Amino acid sequence: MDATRSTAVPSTTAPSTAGDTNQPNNEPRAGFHKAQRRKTWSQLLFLLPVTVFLGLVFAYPMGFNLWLTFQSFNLKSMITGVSEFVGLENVKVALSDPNFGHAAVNTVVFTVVSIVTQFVIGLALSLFFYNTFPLSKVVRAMLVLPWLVPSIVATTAWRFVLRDPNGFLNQVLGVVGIGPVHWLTSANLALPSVIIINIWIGIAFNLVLLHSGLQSVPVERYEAAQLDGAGYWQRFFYITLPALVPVIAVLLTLGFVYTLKQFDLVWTLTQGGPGNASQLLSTWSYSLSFNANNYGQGAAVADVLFAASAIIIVAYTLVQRKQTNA
Amino acid sequence: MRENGTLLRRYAMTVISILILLFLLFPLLWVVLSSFQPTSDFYAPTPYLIPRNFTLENYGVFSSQIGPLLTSLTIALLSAFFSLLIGIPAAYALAIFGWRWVAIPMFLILVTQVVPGIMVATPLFLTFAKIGLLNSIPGLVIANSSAGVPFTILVLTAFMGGIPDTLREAAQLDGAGEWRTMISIIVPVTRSAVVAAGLFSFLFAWGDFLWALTLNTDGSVTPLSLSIFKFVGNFQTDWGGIMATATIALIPAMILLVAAQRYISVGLTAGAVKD
Repeated sequence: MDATRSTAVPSTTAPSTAGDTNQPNNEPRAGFHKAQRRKTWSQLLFLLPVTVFLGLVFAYPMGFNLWLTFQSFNLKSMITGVSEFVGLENVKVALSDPNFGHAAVNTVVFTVVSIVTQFVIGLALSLFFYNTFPLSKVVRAMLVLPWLVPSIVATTAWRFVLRDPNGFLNQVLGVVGIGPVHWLTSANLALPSVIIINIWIGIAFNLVLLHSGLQSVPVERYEAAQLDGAGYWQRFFYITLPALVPVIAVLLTLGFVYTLKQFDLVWTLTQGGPGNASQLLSTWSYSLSFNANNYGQGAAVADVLFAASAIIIVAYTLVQRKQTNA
Repeated sequence: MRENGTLLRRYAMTVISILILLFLLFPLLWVVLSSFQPTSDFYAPTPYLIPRNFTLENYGVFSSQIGPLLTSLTIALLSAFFSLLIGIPAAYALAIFGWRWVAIPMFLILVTQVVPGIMVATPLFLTFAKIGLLNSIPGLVIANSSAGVPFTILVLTAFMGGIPDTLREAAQLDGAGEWRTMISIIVPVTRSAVVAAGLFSFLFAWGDFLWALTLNTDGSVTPLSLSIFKFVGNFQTDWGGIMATATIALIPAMILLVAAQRYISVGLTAGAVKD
């Protein structure tokens, strides 16, 4: 915003000296401050609706969730509205449940494998689409579709393709003589299948961001490197990758927090099953609350999930600040 | 990095890219193709890529899905409207007024992006149960706007911050107040970002599953996503009907992809890479 004022450089010195000469006369300044304060209040009106709204759908529910964590809130409390303070009981019970460790490990595997794989595929695709060829823009645009469609449509499509014994994939495998594979219903394959589907959805997000990141790398750098005899991979590692670092940082941070809280996908594909084979912290929290009516424990697990995300986002903000200040 | 090789090489890349596209979009393509096949064909032991029999019989589900379809459409349109209504003034204030403490609200808005849905779902469910917003359109619009409002602010502050201050100063010299300036100067200038924010808010609500699942208890308000979920969950699975319904649910995303491509990349990049 200040950049536009640079055109008026000569005149900027004038008001400041005028302000100094006005010093003895206090009346206009006091009036000015009052007007300024009134202005600030009327400006704050712009933030009033959003503050009320975000308070209602975020601040209040999050506080409520924290309160629930320490309450014995169950089906009976739903009707009577009565629950009692139980201290850390919910946290203790939830965290010592063998399901917690299992769901936590699943969540970490799900998150890490998903982001790393979709990042690598997204990067490869963005490098491929950096070239211009007939239809390159149209095809690149179409690739975003899996990310745009409702999650229920994406998971329904996959359930249909992976269905056993007659799903398309099993039909094709049958031709090669491989018996029907229970993609979503066997304990060994449920989590890998869910991860593959999550990667499939996330590729588009990585592709779009990395593609726009690539556009900001100055072409002259490549030309200079080429003159110096740098090969493709040298240019990639010494020019492209370093230039992409800020985009990659955003991508991995957002990818991490979005994947960590992923719920729809697993709930609509396996509901965490079979058994707990594909149980994540998010789905487990949901079933504790809504299937077992154990709202306190569900709330405790949700707290853990939020804490993990909050750590990541705070760390990211601090690192980013340090870099912009340096 | 750009390899502008021979014409042949460039056409080869087109072919490769289309193969990649077909491979990655296959599950969705398969839904659309299957929706035009009789259900009996889904149980054939061998795969067929091209439908053998064309039929519209699956679209008979339309009569039973029109209710959920209209419910989803209403919720998504209202959520998009509501997100812009609240998000635009907020973005204007945060981007234009030049407050010194602006980093604090911006950080809080960023935090809303990382809050797990399930953390809000239980409290919202219990609260809505108490104040009678369960099984209601307004309840779902409020819950769905929790995605649209922060997103709108993130996208619009990035764009409004880039507008030269002189534009606003000129408007105010002409006697326009802040609200007037916002509505008749700033919003028109940033309209592609406004459209993008509205489209994404629509899509968030259209694709929502969590709120549809948690905030409905008696089935009186059933959005399309929940309707498909229940459909798939039935043991007597009518895959043909499901494929037809899923195809219908695909339509908004496809329309946007064709008609509003520009806005999609605006929304995707600006929402994530706010400087």
